[in-house]
Amino acid sequence: MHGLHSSSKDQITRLVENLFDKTALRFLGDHPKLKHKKIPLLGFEAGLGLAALFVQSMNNRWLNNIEQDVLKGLVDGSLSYIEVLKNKTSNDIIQKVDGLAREARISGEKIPESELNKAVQEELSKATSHLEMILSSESTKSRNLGMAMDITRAAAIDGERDPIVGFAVIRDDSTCEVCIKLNLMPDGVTPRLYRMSELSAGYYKRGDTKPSLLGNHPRCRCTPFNVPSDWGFTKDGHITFVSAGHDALEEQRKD
Amino acid sequence: MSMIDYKSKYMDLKAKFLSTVDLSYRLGYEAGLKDSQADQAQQQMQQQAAMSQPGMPTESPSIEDTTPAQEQPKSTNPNEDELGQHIEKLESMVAKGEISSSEVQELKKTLNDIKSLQIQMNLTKSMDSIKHNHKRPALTLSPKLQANLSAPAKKALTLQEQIVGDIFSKWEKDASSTTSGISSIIGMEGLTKKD
Repeated sequence: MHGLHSSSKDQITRLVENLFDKTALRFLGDHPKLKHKKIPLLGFEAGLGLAALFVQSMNNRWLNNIEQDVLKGLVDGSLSYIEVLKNKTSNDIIQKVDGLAREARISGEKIPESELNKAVQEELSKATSHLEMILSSESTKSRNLGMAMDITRAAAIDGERDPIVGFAVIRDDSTCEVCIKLNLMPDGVTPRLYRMSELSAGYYKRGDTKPSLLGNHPRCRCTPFNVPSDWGFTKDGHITFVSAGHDALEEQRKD
Repeated sequence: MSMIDYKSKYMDLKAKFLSTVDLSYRLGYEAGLKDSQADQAQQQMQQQAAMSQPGMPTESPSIEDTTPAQEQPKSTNPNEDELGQHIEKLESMVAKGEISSSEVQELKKTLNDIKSLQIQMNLTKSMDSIKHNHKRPALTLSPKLQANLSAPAKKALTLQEQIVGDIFSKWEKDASSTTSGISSIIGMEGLTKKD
């Protein structure tokens, strides 16, 4: 017994692909792999994406070759995640609708529109939560990598090869326990310091004892910042000049 | 040996369970309403503090000062614990096997029903909390919240929220038009009917 006609399957695939491609274009801007899609986007939509975020994180300066290459890697990586999700969602929707169509042909009973819409929406809501995870984690990664590269560049000018960094933690009721534990001292206010080389550069895994440069979770708002030599923190956890020769990292690890 | 009326016991349990579900829903709704009102009030206070002293760190109470770290909402409903106790009691009775085999079968079925209802209730709660988390309020950086954030970092953080937020609002619109598109494609095959 046949379900959907192949032409209908093609049309559904195109619809779902279009949905994901539009989102990818909005998020990643003009990408060579999306050029041929002919999806119209308004000018301001195309200019505000991952690349803009990376450049903003690098203090809006021209990118050198290495930085451009990092950005290219970020954009390509995000696109590949979205492509995988696109193919999975498209396939899942077709399988589900095809099953409903087959049942309808066998029983001779038509599918109620609400039932069909519910089935499609179920798949799309699954895709939405996956997409949210991709967009949040990739944008956090892009933001933090941009900040880290800016810190490294500024430290290199001062002759520092392995700068000391802390994470500015936005403390509100959305702040997660992992970020508080790894990025703040036990007083819950003073940022915990690390050498850049000590941080994990991959995605954070539960149980890791060092924070990740890419963020500890998809919606992580902790942002790396540099603590130059002679600088430390006030009681409120604000960065401040302490005295010549002061080493904030050593001070923290002495206790 | 005294006879135990398992059917009436089951009916009692079922009635208690249904009242538990009602109570949980009402408690959850009320707690959610209170939380949202408290959030709004706090946001207003923060905005006022930020506007009164532009660029200066304020001593106004922030979220971390005024509210203790929010924990996962725990059930304060005593009926829920009681339900668990009853389930345990029934389970132990079934395990002892002091009753006839037909009654044991019936009891097992009853227990399974209650357990599945309990799971369903927990799932509903979890789904509600996920939905609640998904619609997180927009990030507002009060002077105290933005400690140690440089100007470009602040801009980047706001930009990130804006980019992801914008994409999702458009995604929701596009997804609903995709759903209706798919519906009309299936309709063209003559396989759907209006409700």
